[in-house]
Amino acid sequence: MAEPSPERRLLPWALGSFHTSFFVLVLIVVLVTSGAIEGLLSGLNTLLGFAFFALLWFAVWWATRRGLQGLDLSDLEHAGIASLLRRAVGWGSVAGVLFLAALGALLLVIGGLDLALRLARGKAAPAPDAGAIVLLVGIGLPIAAIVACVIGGLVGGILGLLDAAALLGTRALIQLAVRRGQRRDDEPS
Amino acid sequence: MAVLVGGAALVFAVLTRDAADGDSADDAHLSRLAETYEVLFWVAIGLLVMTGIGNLAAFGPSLPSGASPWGQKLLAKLALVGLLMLASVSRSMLVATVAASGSAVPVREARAVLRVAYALTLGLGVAVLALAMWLAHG
Repeated sequence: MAEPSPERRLLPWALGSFHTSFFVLVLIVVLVTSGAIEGLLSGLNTLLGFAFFALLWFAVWWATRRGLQGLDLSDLEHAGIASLLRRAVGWGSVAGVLFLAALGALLLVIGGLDLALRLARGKAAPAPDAGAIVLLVGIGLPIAAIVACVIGGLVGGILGLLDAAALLGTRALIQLAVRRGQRRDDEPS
Repeated sequence: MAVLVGGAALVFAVLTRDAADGDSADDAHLSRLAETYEVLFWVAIGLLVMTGIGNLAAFGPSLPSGASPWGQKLLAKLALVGLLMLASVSRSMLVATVAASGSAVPVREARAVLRVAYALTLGLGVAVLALAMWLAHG
């Protein structure tokens, strides 16, 4: 089996990690400047925080990998910037919904474990509220999915703009190297 | 941080030491080294952000506010980390493009560009490290 090209090996990982880390970094800056960080983070369990970040990282990496499929960023002749931006918005939305789904699954597992522990200790488990479940599944989840989709698309578009700027910068540097190489070759030895 | 700064120093040193003599075996090794560093760099950045949030959460209530001198130092460090990330996206793209381009990009000039990119990474990494130490000691 042929080995994948460096671009296919490296770029999805690099860009996926960049998108996740930069997004979270900007969130932290906003929270620190607004003074909301103490209240928000002090209530967060460290392990749960790590799990949230890992889920976000996985969702964004997977969406970035899918978004870059079939896109040749090393092609210096054809820009592909518009395609990159379109994909960034589309797959950003997918990443948002995927993160929400993964988060929901994680919270369900935690809830299930908590219930199992209560039962194992002989404590009475609270009876499920059917009305609340119907409201959550019927209204809460679709609204949350739409919000996650919109926010994901918006963040994906902004990060896509940064990717495009980095791509243009990279191409300029590569073209500079090629021109210098040609000039060196043309010089009489 | 050790991987991030030490790795950048290693790749920069190898790029500086090796003359562009057109040895394709050397080029392949260098390309592998740079690619490996890029993968590890992004793992390190992810872990850095993740543990950074952990630290903020652990010390949250006792931390000075964002407007305090300590908060300003923290914001300066976060801005530097952001700058490091932005510069590193181009560097990773550069490594991937040079590796994929074969002989389309001249080796000597490509190495010169990569040398500057790794020197910048090293400089920013050391600056982040220095600010982190400054923050830790008040």
